[in-house]
Amino acid sequence: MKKLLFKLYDSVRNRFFHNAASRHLPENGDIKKIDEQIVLIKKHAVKLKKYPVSPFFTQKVMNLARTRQKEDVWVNLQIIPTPAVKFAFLTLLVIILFLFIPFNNYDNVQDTASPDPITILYNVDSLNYEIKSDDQALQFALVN
Amino acid sequence: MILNGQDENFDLIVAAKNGDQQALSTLIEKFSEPIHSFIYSIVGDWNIVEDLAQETFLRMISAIKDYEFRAPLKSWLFRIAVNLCRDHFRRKKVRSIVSFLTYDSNEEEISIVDDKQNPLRDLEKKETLHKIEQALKSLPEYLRLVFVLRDIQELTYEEIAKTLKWRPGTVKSRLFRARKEIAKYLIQQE
Repeated sequence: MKKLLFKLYDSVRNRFFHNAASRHLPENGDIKKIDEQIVLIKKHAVKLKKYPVSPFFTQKVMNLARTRQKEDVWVNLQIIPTPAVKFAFLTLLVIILFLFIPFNNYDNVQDTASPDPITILYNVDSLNYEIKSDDQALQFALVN
Repeated sequence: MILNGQDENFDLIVAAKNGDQQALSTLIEKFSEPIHSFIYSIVGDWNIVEDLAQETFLRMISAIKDYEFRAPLKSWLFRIAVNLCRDHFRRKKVRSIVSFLTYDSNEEEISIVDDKQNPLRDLEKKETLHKIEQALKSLPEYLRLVFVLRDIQELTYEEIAKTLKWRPGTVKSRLFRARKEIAKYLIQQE
């Protein structure tokens, strides 16, 4: 019965089939009424397909698409094929950044002892320089 | 299943996939009326139809390169529109909750739908159509979707199944229910 009804409603514009199928419907008043309404709906609903679209709609969409494309960051990464690869690439970039920050932070720079002026000028660590002989003492005196 | 040459817009789609702007414009031109009409039938609000239709085509443009001809382009576009309509309903629901929480009794109630501005009223003044529209609004979303796609947009059962990701049997049973509900609504209105 359901199959028959579907065929009936789908062939509203085929009057021959519609009349033939309608004859098989039960004579029950309520069902007949619902059936008549459905046929009426089918006939009229298609008219709702019409819609007054703005004449500039296409142009508007194309302009908007161009504007969005310029703003889209991914466009600059077009060499990377799929969104998944793009995502993986960005994640890797973030991980690398996080890994390298601790090695280049301010604390590490502070820990490095800066050489005193004598070391810089004479390439000798004056505080730790041990004089073992008279020759070394003379050399030190001459240099400094 | 990949359709390949079966889609009547095959050449246009291929050109659009290769970045042909003219092909994209032609596709938009071709589908703008069914998409507008579909969105209007679902959301019933003239004020936001164009925005949602616009967004549908913008998404089409950005995703056409990944389109694989698994379903006709029309079904694919309707699928995008369905998702956008659902997002709209979700946002509307949140807004209605927020406005309920911040309700000010002194504020004048403003109707979102302005019937006077609706060009469909000027275009088609037949009472039956108006009644069908009202009956549509009374349907739950899933029944409205299937009814609009079949009886207004005239998609095949297979296309509807692909668009809504339902089984063909589900499409038929829900369509039957939707038609019956609308018929009942119309009988009650008489």
